[in-house]
Amino acid sequence: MNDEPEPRPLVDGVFVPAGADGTAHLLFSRCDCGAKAFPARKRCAACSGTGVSIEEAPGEGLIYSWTTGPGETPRVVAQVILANGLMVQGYVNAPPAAVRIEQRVRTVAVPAGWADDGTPVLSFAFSPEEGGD
Amino acid sequence: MAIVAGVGMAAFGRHPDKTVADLGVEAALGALSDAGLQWKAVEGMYCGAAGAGLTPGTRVSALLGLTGIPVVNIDNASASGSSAFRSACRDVDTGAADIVLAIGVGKSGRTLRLDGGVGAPEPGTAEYRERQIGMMQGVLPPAGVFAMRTRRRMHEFGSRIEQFAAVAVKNRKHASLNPYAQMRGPLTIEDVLNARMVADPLTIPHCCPVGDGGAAAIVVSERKARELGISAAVRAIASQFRTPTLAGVMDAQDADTTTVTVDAAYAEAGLGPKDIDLVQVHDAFTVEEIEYCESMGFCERGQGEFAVERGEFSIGGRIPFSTDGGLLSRGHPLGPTGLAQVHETVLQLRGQAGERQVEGARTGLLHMVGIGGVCLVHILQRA
Repeated sequence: MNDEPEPRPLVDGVFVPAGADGTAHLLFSRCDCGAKAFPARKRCAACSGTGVSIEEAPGEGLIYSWTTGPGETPRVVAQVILANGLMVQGYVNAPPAAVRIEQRVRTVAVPAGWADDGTPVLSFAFSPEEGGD
Repeated sequence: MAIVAGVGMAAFGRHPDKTVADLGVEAALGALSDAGLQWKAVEGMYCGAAGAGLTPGTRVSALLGLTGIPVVNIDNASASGSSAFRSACRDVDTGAADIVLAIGVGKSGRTLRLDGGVGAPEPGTAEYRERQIGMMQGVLPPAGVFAMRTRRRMHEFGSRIEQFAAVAVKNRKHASLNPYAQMRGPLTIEDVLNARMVADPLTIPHCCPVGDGGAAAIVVSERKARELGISAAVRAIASQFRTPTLAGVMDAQDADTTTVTVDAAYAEAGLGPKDIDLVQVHDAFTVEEIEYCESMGFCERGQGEFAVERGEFSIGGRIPFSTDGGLLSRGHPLGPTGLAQVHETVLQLRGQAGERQVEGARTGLLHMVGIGGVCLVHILQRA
């Protein structure tokens, strides 16, 4: 299909799909007081303030822990600590046997089906770096 | 100080022939009979339930008799029953009433959605968007986050999954001595390891069953206790309730909130961990008993799973945990669980716990957490 529309994120405001380097970036909120949150918050958990801006998180992080979801071929879900110290959770693009704590990962965009209008949609996942640490 | 004058239970398990209100009536009548009181004497009532429909406590009171008293229904997830108990104690402590009934009820078979809806949310709604963002972060059963905490501990402390399984085996052994428990059959470490995987590395026996049940406690003032001639009274000497602060937003929020709540309860009672004889803990997943025993000051951080393996938390051990089987084997119908802990602790402190009696027990600590970060801690003590 030549005329398939450009894929877009499943939900706006969660992540920015891959740039030229193939790395996606999660969108987090940073409050005037310094507190960070993902998914982004409108009101700060630390100070209740609304002086919150949205920033792109670093695309690199380390797996803090992981488990598997339900189903015949369970997908790995991990808690990842990004390079800016924020802990986030999401799918890992690898089978359980290839995942370990402290593994270096980067954020990527992955296909997540189609919207009602036929547009392909994207979600995010963590992809283990080639060659380990 | 609030005195627990009577406790009652409707056994945890499967009760297809009883409504959720029937289970509440059974527990309430048990508590009234234990206290030597009539329903007509009760001045107020609190009912803890999670997702059990509109005003389940009011349905219980209607079945008991239309006496016109105020009935408050509380939904605080797993900590609903503990919240009802705390409210009853406070009514007595403030002098608002002399006799208050706290009950908890629960029945399985309902699919709970945290935003209150039924089935899948409609596309285009705020709930739908919230759910999609949640799914992007990984679809996991409730065990998922506890599986990650288990694996992280194994990495940090060099512990083994068998040590977490030991919590399930110990609590099953305790439950086998408790006629009110849901899961009483034998369970070995091998059984735990070989069971169906729920969220790697946790298999089914690492997770509590959600069944049907009811539990109740009658709370009275000192004045009323004297009038009723209650000797060797069991008093609530601490009642503390916290929700999270930002300090605990990483992976161990419940453990951090537990630390804060327990410390406040120790301060209120003027006691420390050394003064506690037994603990009822929110062990919905095996790793929880281990993390909270550390939050409560019974173990150094990283030592919990090794202490369980050595039998320190078994009946007869250093500090028995979950003497009635805990959430893991006594069962966890959500609403009544906190009051089942009151029931067990009162029996233990009176020396009426039969084969599972903790010798010489005088002071018990009770702990529940609810989804969203609710944490309640009570300390009960025999005079």
